[in-house]
Amino acid sequence: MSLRGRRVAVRSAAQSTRHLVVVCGSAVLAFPADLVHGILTAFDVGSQTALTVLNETYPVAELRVQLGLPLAAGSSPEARTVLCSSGVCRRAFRVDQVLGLTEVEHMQVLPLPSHFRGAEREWFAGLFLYLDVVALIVNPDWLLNGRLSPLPSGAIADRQVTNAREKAIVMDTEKSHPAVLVSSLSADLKEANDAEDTPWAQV
Amino acid sequence: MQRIRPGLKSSSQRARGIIVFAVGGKRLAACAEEVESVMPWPDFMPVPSRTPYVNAVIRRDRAVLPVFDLAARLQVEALGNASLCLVAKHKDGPLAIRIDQDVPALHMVEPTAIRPHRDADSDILGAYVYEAEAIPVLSLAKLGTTRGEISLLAKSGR
Repeated sequence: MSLRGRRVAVRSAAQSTRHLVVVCGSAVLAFPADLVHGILTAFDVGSQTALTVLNETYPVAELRVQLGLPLAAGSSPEARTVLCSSGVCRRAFRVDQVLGLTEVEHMQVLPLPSHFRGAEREWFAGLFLYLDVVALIVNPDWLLNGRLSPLPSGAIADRQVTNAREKAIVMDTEKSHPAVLVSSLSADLKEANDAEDTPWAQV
Repeated sequence: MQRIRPGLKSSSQRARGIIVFAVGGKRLAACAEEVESVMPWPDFMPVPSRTPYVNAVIRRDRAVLPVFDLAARLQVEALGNASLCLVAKHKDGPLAIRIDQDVPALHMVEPTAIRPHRDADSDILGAYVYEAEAIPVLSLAKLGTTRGEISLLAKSGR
């Protein structure tokens, strides 16, 4: 309340952040959505180690490997590759599943408990309650600037090699309302087809 | 969820509470003042981690508690289909530990009943001799923050 008695109820958009929630191994992770520039299916990516999208190159990494988790036995139909970019650094990460896009108020973000004292303090910037699980927020700085661990030999050969057709799932930032908790991916992400007016289709 | 062991005068000012519980069949003890609560073991969520034995969290209402995998440290597995969750008052905050489904017991003992451990840099305070068995007494407040003492734990059993 101001000195003149007027209630000032300005709610800054900076009080909340959108996150793309994914599954990696048995962990649920959250990418800050402003880093996410696209989501590709395993069919699209095949075994490529680098993706070139709109003249920008994204080295592809297994997020499981970066986090010290065992690799999946094969490629799941729900697996996705998330394109991340800060404008300067670009990387693409394979994840096992995309769960959804959600708006998280900053006050809902909890720090990683201090009992965790290892490299995970660099990996995760915090956590929040997501549906009935806990989502770990991936540290953007580590995600884009951290040293990438190499894939174990033979890991790529196990994957199905398929040339990508021009299909991608792109973030529809205009449709999503910042104040609405989106628990379903379909509400905020749209699947682009081969239409010419879709930037991803020009790749 | 706790039982008072009969036979000792709990009114004694020097007596202290010792919680005796089991992990994978191994009996362990801890000071009662370092135990926050005991509850049914909830679903846990793995956390990629390089911290030894701390690689999961559980939800308790709106709070998130880290899990210390004491069974892994003892190289055993928690027994029973209905494991319990012991929430320890760790120096870094509440810490969840999965224990066997056997209901922990509360023993009121004289301080002399606990034989101090020789290594100060250990999360084992000493041994509580009960029924001819030396039960390791853990310092739950320091669990996982010291060099540890697996050998003593590994040797002790029922």
